[in-house]
Order: sequence, then structure tokens, then C-alpha cells
Amino acid sequence: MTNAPAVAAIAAVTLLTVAVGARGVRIARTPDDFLVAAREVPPALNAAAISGEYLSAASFLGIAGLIVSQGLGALWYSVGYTAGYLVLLLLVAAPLRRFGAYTIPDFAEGRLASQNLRRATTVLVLVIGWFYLLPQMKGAGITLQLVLGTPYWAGVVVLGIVVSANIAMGGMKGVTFVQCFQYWLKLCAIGIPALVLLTAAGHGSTRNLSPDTQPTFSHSTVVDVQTGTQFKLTRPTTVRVSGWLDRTRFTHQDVHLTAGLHSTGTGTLLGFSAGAPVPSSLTMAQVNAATWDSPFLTAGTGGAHPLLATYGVIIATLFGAIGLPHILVRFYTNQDGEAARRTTLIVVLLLSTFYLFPAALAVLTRLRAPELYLSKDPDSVVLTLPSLLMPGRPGELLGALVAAGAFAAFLSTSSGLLVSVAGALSHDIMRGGVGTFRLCAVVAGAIATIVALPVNRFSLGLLVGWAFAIAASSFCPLIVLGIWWRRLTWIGATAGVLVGGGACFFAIVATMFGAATHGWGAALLGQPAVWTVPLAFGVMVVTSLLTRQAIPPHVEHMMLRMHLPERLIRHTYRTGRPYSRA
Amino acid sequence: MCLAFAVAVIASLPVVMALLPAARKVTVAGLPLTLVILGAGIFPVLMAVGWFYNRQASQLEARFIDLVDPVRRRSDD
Repeated sequence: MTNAPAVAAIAAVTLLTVAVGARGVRIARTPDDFLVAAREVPPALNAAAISGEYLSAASFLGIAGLIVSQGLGALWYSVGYTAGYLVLLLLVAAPLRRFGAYTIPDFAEGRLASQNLRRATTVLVLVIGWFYLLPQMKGAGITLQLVLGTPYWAGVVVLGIVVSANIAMGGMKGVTFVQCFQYWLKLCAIGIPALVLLTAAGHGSTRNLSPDTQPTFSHSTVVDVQTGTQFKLTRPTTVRVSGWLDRTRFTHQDVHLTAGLHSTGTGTLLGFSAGAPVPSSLTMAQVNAATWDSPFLTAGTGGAHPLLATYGVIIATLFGAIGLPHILVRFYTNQDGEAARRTTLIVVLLLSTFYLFPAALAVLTRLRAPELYLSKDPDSVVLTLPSLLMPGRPGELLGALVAAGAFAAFLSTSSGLLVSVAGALSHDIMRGGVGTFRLCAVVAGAIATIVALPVNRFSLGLLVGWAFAIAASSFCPLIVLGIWWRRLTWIGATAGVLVGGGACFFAIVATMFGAATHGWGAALLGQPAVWTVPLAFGVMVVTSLLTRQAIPPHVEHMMLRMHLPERLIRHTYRTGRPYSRA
Repeated sequence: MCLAFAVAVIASLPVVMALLPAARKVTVAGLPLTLVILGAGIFPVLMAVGWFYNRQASQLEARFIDLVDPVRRRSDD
């Protein structure tokens, strides 16, 4: 399927991004970039910029895909991604702005005066950044696959090259306005199609949503089985088959299928008539009515202990937003702590608005095109839905809008991440200047591209959720305790970051390699935040209490700077003497 | 306090849903209750908590500045 308007829209978004990046041949990580442009960015603009950088492939494609394939429990991801900013507002927004750090290693070194801790946090920035880059790359791969018909790797490589080259040339990171534009582009690109499709196809029966019903096809549908699969029918039906079915080859023949298990070969076309039951695919999680309406998650754990897995996702997303390496710097562009709070609240509003639409599209898929989960990678549901529901030019144009928005999501998030990763590599590990930064951007982009090639069997939502879990298990305790607990020491912080982040990382890698597929092991390894976050906090507190001699000398001063309103602080800095009534 | 409330709301939802399987069968205008709560209903609650916290924090800081220096607060800024 080659969709000409979509190709044009993706090319336009990419060119726009590169053009803006080429204009500013400056190194984007340096503070000056932000100071010149953005020291007093108004909260509404800044909030849109944060949201624009934050909404990634997972939000744009992944959540809808997870809801379609796994059920309503996947809504916890969108709730958690939004509530993460509420937690950030309540715990760290104003103090973090007042401390004035640009990156997490800056904060760690500034607060706890330790080069060792700085090195440990740098390693974690690399791990989280790369992990978060993978789903963006995957998103680009499947988007180009659908729009252009290119193989999966082509999209991955294209995004890797565009983003690396763009950052190496100067980066778009510092340009608040571009990130702000990205938010509104993404909102329109998912909101307009959702509203149009709801108006066009949303009326009628909501039967497929109600519990205890096997979904049925609302109109006669041909399902293109892209990879061989097993499926289950709840009642007998007649299907027109082309290709392999139950180890027999058919060519346009009507076959009566009994209720129960059937298997198909790759590339088989199954024609169902209106009212026929939608088969449930066994190679994915059981998508039958009994689990689809479940409020719990099955992603990543193979369905084991859904309540525990749900809490794992809630903890990871609530506390992960605090620890994302590419978001922190945006808080410094607020005028003061109070503006940082206002900004964060607006972010919650903007994210809440955005997340209404992936859920709406997923529900629409369930109602009008329930076969999508069987035939394609569920992550591409948002991309394919418009042309399925609105044949012809209107559907094609809506599809182009969605594809452009999706590509904007990959570009903006991966640019922000790559700047963080390349900055950490060049500044903290190579100790180089602008030239090194450019080299590091290319190398980091190349590594992410290569690692992204084999990850397309994991869903986008799951991959991003894992990046959040690592952030929540390492940087969240560091920042929260660093702000609120004066007895934190660099030894405790280093131990907590390494133990929590390391445990979480290895649990996820073990899951990716299929270490545990059922029972408690699958639940605890597949959604590890439920134990690694408390572990990180615990190690940090206990080790700090054991190493009291390492409390930094100026801790009182730093606490005051983070927690006092600027109006008092500013006076002290201006006059060089403590604030007094004189 | 705001944190406690927000965490309590979010953390208690899965437990409530686990203890009340009947709630899954409830529909609002044809849509499952789970979808209504997690897809839309929870967001205004998050906004309200955030808005309330911001108001409290700003008032607290204003009162603190008042306490430290009542004159400066009116003349400065």
C-alpha cells in the first residue's frame, strides 16, 4: 500500500525538522542556547514544548495498539504517563527549577558533590536514553513499512540517519517553539482523524464493547494474515479462503469451519461475512471478551498475575516521568519555581487532552474493525484505521495526517533523547567539545539504529514502559531524596542508582530473552518496577544512613536554594548578604 | 497531602476493580465503566488535584514572604 499524500506529509515534516535544525549550527546542549532563547518562556508555551518532546511513538501508536490487542487494562499506560506529571508537580517541579541543573548528572554532582555519582548517573542516562530510542525507531520502521511498503529496517535506518545528522548539525533541541509546534501537530494529527472517524463510523451498535460477547464483523471483511498464526472460533462459520488453512491449500473456496482451533499459513486471505465471529488469535494474548474488558494489564508478563503487573506499570509510569533525562532541562527555561509549577499543571492538561484520542481510536477499532489485531502488528492500528473505515480519498488524507503526526512524534522524542545521550557521552565520558559532541551524536544514533532492528516483536507501549521503569528505579529516588532529604550522601545515591537501575535493567533484558514466561517470575521480571523502585529507595536511604560522614558540607544552603521562593533568594544574591528587614 | 490523595485515588482503583468484578459489567451509555474511568474520567481528577496544590503552594509562599518581610513583598516585583 503506497499512500502518496502520506509520503508527502512525512517528507514535509522531516524537511521542516531538518531545516530548523540546520538554521542553528550551535551545540544544543550548552546552557546558553536555553538562556538566550528561553530564560523567560511563558508557561503555556513551555508546557506545550514539554508535551511535544514527551509524546512519543508509545503515546501516538503504542497505547491504541495495546488496547486493541490486550484490552482496556492498557489504558493504565495513558493514565500513568499523565499522572507522572502530577507526581512531578507535587514532588519536584519548583525545587528542581530553583536548583537550576540542566541535566541529571549536573543535578547529581551539584547536590552531592561527587564525580563518582556523576559517572554512575551518566551511565544510566545512556541506558535509559537508548532504551527509549528503540521504540521510536520501531515506530518509524512500521510506519514507513505501511506507507511506502519498504522493509522494516528501512524506516529504522532512515530515522536514525535523519535524527543523527540533524543533531550533529546543530540540533533542534534548544528551539522551544519547534517542540511547541510538535505538540499541536501531534494533537491535530490524532485528534482530527479520531473525531472525523467517530462522526463517520462511531454511530451504531456498541455490542462489541460489552463484556461477555465475542466480537463479530460488522461488514464482510477480508483478513490478510501476514504471519502464520493459530486462531480460535467460538462458533462454526463459513469462510472464503485463499491460501493455507489447517494444512490444506485453498483458492477462493468457501470452507465451513467448526468451532475451535484452526491454523493458517503466511499470506492467507480469510473472507468473513457480516455477523461472523471475529476469531481470537492465540499467538497474541488471549483476546476474547473475558479479558478484553479486564481493567488489568497482561503486557510483558504473558498474562501472569495481572494485578501485580498493573501496579508495576502504575509505579513505573508515575515515577518514571521524574527521571527522564531529556525532560529535566525544559524546567530550567521557566522563569521561577512558581512558573515551573504552572507549566507542569498545563502539561497535565495538554497530556490529558491528547490521551483521549488514542483510546477513542482503539475503541473504534474494536467496534468497526476488530479483525485488525489478527492481521497486522497491533502498533499500526492507528495508521491503518482511517483507510479501512473511510475508503477513497478522505481516508487516504486522514491516513496521511496520522502518518505525519506519528513521524513528528518519532523525530521530536528521538531528537531530545539523542541530545541527552550524545551530551552525556561527549561531555562526561569523552570530555570533548563541539566536534566530539557531533561524533557522539552519530555514534549514539548508529548504535540505537542497530539495536532497534531486532526489537520489532515487542510492542511500542511495552518498550517505552520499560524505559520508564528504569528511570523510576534509578533517577526518581535520586531526585526526590536529593530534594527532600538532607541526609542523602553520594555513596548512598550511587548505590541506589546502580542497584535499582541495574536490577530493573537486567530484569527487562531477561524478559526480552524469554527467561520467564509464566507465573511469578514472568510478572516480577516483565514489570519489575513494582520491586525495583522500593529497592532503589531502600538502598539509597540505608546506605546514606550508614555513611553520614559523606553528607556534603553545604547541604543547608542547597536546601534553602531549592525550597525558598525566588523573591527572597534573589535579594540575597543581589546584595550578597542574607535577607533582612533593613 | 495532595500527593497522598492523588496516590490514594490511583493506587486504590486496581484493588477496587479486583474486589468488585461486578463493576466490570457496568456500562455507561453503552461504554464499559473501565473505559469511562480510565479513558476520560480520571483526567479531570488529576487536573483538580494539581490545581489545588498549586493554589496551596503559592499561598503558602506568599504567607512565608509576608512573615519574613511584610514591606518588601509589596514593593518588590
